[in-house]
Amino acid sequence: MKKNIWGIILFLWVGALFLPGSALAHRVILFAWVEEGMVHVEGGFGSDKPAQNCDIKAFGKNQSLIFTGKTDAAGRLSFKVPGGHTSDMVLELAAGPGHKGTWTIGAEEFEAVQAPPEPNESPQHKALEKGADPLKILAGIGVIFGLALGVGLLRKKSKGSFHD
Amino acid sequence: MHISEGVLSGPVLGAGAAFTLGCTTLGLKKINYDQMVHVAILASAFFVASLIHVNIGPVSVHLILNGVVGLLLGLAAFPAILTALVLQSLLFQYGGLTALGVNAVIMAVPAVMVHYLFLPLLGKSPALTFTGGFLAGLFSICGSCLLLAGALWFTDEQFLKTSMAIVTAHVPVMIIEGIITGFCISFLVKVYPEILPRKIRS
Repeated sequence: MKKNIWGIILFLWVGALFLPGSALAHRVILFAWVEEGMVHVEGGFGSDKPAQNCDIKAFGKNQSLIFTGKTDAAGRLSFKVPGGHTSDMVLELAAGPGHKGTWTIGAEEFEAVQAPPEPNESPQHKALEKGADPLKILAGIGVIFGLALGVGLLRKKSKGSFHD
Repeated sequence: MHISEGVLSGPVLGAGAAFTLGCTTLGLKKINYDQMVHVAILASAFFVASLIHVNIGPVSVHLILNGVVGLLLGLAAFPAILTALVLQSLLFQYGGLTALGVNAVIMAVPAVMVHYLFLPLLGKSPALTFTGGFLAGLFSICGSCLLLAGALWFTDEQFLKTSMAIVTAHVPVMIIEGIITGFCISFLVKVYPEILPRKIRS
């Protein structure tokens, strides 16, 4: 009986030694960042094992779900920053029961994305500042006068033939 | 003031194109050979005026001069403005080609209206001529803004705020355009009265 108790204790001790290791092997690692208006997510199980085809959920203000998607074969997913999103974004990767990883992207990372471009820096404004090509302006005026001349001649001709 | 490609709905674009086609045909019929040079000069002025941009606060606005064109040409303003808009769209990408009909309606309808409203004021006295020109410039821009707002609103009711912002942003342009049109008309009547329609000169 005493031998059995020692056996059980030894078994539990050895098991306890291995348990954290196995838990560590299946721990989900999730990393996300914002770049050029896109949220990039990368998930894995450590030691170069990507989290393939795993559900990704993005939560915004008040835990509201703002995006869902699946990781690719490399454990990656990219999506456009939802319009008007300026709060913290919590990303959650679910890789089966008990395997969940989260990552929070701070609100400050979205402020730069959502800020409207300065009026003086917008492409339209730059195009306007560049000004119109004088040659094109002259060409336009030439076309207008050419058309007027053409219509005028046609009108005169038709008037002449009418009087004939 | 130029509406770009892909903003307006199909029915609004179609209605604008049909209206422009009808009015341009009528306008072309109204033009006589002697008037052709005036049409070309005013169409060129309209074509160039839109390229001159002035910064007012955070927005950039440009002269339109549809008041001058409309006041002096009447219904013939339609082909003149349409030609200038086509060239602006092709050469400078101002406004979309599919939105040409609507853009022509926005610019030309108020222009034709000011011709019938304010032409009788011209040539009577310098003060009345300037007033006629000023009112023509002011009301043509005001009418264009309202038509632009209407086109956007008919496309989507969510454009209401944008429409109101456009009208507000153009209030200074209305006044500037009024003053410039007033001086332009006063100068033209003084140095080249032949540009006025015959019914006013006689």
